Amino acid sequence: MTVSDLIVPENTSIREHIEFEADRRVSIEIGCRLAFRSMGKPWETELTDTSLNSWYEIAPGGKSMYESISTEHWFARARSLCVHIPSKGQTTSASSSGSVTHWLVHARAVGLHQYLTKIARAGLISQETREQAIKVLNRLSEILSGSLSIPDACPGPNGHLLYTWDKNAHHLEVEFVPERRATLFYMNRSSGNVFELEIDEFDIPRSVLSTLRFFSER
Amino acid sequence: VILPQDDASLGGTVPDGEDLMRLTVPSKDGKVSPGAFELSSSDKAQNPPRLSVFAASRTTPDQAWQIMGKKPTYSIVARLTAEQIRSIRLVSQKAEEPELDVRWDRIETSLPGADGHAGLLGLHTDKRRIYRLKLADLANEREVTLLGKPL
Repeated sequence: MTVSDLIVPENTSIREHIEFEADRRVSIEIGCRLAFRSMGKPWETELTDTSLNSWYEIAPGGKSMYESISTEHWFARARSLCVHIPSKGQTTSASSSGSVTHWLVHARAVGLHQYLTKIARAGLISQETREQAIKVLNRLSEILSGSLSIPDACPGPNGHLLYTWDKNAHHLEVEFVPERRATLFYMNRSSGNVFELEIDEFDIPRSVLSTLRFFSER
Repeated sequence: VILPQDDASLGGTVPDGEDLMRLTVPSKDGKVSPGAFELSSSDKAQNPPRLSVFAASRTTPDQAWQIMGKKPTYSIVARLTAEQIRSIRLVSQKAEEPELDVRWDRIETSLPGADGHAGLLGLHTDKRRIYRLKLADLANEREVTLLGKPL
């Protein structure tokens, strides 16, 4: 599913309303605002679904976790909206690439959380490994001021979990092994340069910043 | 050549032209992850340590799935040839002898297709992260076969 499968937006944004309860749980209400032009007229609508609103446990430090929220659900809602858009005279300009990028980053983040939840429920990783992986990713993202791209993820044998990022010749992994610190591994496929170091959510050297920049969304 | 210290189940080398299959869990983005080539604790306990693969000329993907215990999470098949595996070199490595090899590996089962089981050797060294990345890159150049419903 790509953005081009949706209606052609002039402006697309995700609205999030977040409430904290005693630093323990968080309520997330998510809406999607769509603005588009059809038959020479601007259209604007907001999709919300109260069934998505619920309380979620939050990790220490106030990080919210977008669990159980189906991106397919939002795409389906947007598609159903398309039925009501006259095709004749419809313009096809997208003037808000920043917002669309935000949509995709958001969708990938939701997809990662859903995937981690699925493989934990399937017994391929433990809940502890899932939580460790979320915390470490949040910390890595903080180091890069929130611009770190969302990694691919896959379970390995014996409860291992592997995050991977690939951009041109650059490859980055963070591997989680139960009851051990995570290992960060970088390889440049062209030069063959490699390095690896152990990390955890509390101890990530600032020296990895230059490596993380290869995988920035900006 | 079967070395004396090797497990008795280990046989000769798999021919270069053989297409090899590795059953694995799809990544979040539907790719073959480097983690698909990580040795499990039982793989490491073998002598020498080795990863289970199957020769496509002797085993079908479904037979391989049955032999591997019908795990529903093993829903994709990564493919690469024995020659590709033996051709993997580190950038700085100039040795002619391949560091990765594939040998026939007999397993105790009467299930059909078992004669296609082989072991991928050389993944237990400190260079394993580099090797498994190169293996995954090669596998992702090929079409990934779906065995069942992806995770």
